[in-house]
Amino acid sequence: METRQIITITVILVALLSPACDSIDFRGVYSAYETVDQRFDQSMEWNQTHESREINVPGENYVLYVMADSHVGKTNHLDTFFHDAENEHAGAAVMVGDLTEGHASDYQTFEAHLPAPGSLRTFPIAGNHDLYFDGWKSFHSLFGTSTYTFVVHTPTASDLYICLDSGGGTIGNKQLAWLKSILQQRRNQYRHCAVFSHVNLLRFRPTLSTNPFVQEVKVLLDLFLRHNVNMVVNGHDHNRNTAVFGPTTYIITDALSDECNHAGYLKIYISKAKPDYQFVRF
Amino acid sequence: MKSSTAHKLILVLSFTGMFTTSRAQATVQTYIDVGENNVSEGTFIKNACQVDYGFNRFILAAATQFDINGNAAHVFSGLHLSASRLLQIKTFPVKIKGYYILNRFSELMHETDWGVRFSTRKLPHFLFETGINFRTYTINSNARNDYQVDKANSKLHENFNLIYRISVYLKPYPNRWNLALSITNTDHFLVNQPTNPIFNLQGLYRIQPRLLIHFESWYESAGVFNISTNYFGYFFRTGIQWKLDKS
Repeated sequence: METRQIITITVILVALLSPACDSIDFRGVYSAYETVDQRFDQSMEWNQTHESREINVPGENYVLYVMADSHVGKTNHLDTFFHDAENEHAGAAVMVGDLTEGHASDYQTFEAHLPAPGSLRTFPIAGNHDLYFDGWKSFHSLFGTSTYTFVVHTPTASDLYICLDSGGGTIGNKQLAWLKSILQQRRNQYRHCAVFSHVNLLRFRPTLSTNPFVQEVKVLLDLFLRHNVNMVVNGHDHNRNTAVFGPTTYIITDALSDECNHAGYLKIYISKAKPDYQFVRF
Repeated sequence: MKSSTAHKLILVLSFTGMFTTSRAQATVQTYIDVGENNVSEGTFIKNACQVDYGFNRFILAAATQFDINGNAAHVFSGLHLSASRLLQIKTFPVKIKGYYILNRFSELMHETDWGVRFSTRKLPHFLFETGINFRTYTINSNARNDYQVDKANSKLHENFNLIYRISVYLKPYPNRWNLALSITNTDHFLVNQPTNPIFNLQGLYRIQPRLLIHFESWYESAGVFNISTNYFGYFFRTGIQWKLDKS
């Protein structure tokens, strides 16, 4: 191939790819800004210096609003999600990663659209896009942690919710050890238990979005059966899907992003019976 | 002798004749893996043994894997069965392989994979392989009883997973020694999702015509296709391959 042809092709490729550079941080292909273990350590440090996350709800039944992949920038769907959650007096809103595109300005926009303090409890976790462009620093500054538990107390029962950081495609060995200890020591104290993690564990369709390594998937499947986890909720794939394996319902929720044709979110209904769910599409 | 018995005998003799009169070749190989990853809880050591039997242009293979050290639930942790056929499609030498893999990774459940692969060494410095895999996770019957799991909820399927391997060899194949760099999502007892490539550097040396030794280093990086990479694991492998040539 002649040099002139190579240069022409290179210029065309750069021109085509340059708009994507604003939303894709190509450094992430070969090097992370922080490892999952480093983010875990920072999350644990933040957890230890802040009060535990507990919510009291007045009735035996309550609903959790769950969204993923808002990819702020645009915020129309995000506003609708919080508006719907507040209107229905949701127990909490869980935000399962890819909240932003990683830029500091995206985090500022996201913060500006969060519900007013006291109106709705929100629980965010980091996704892969949130880590782009050194985004963990903004996430950590705004939210403090991406690995934690929160508990919802009804008058007669308590439910345990576990939030994991899988933004790097793996939960890492430290976070796995933490997850195991939480399930072993605390799961039996609670009525229901659900796990939230951005990267979808299971692969229901051909897609470029990736999952944890199969070795990690198998360890987690075993853990969730062994400890009777009722629900595992993921985002990342931008397409809803569900499967039941043992006692666990695995759910991938739609993307909330304004750019998504089939955008939506998830509602989880908690009662004495097994947790139920409903997809909501815009 | 009844005619049905005679027919059966003829079939058996024909089948045996196919093995004994044709150009048959058996190969035995064994290797050992030492490594660690984010879920291994320390160093793991695995050993595998494989027997290949080739006749005409067919190859039958059976392999077993043993977990010697690590957090595996069973010592006998893997089984791999395959049948291959060598073809010539125009100028392309192609190997078609049907396979079945059993992974006993837990006391409560197991994984099965099956599929078909196509590979070619048309270009002497390259190996290209692609195929389709079907994976099923199954909760064992004793676990279904212990955890009151409905049989309808005891299986999880991941279908039509693309598998691939691209290997670049320093020397043209075949050569007495070689170095190869590979990117793949599959190993003897492992089929990863297509978006989780694994990188492998392999060195091999044929000590004598029937004895080959190899050494490999594997690196697993999570999140590559998420453009948010993170170390997952690595392992080293060494083994020998011994050709029991009858010709």
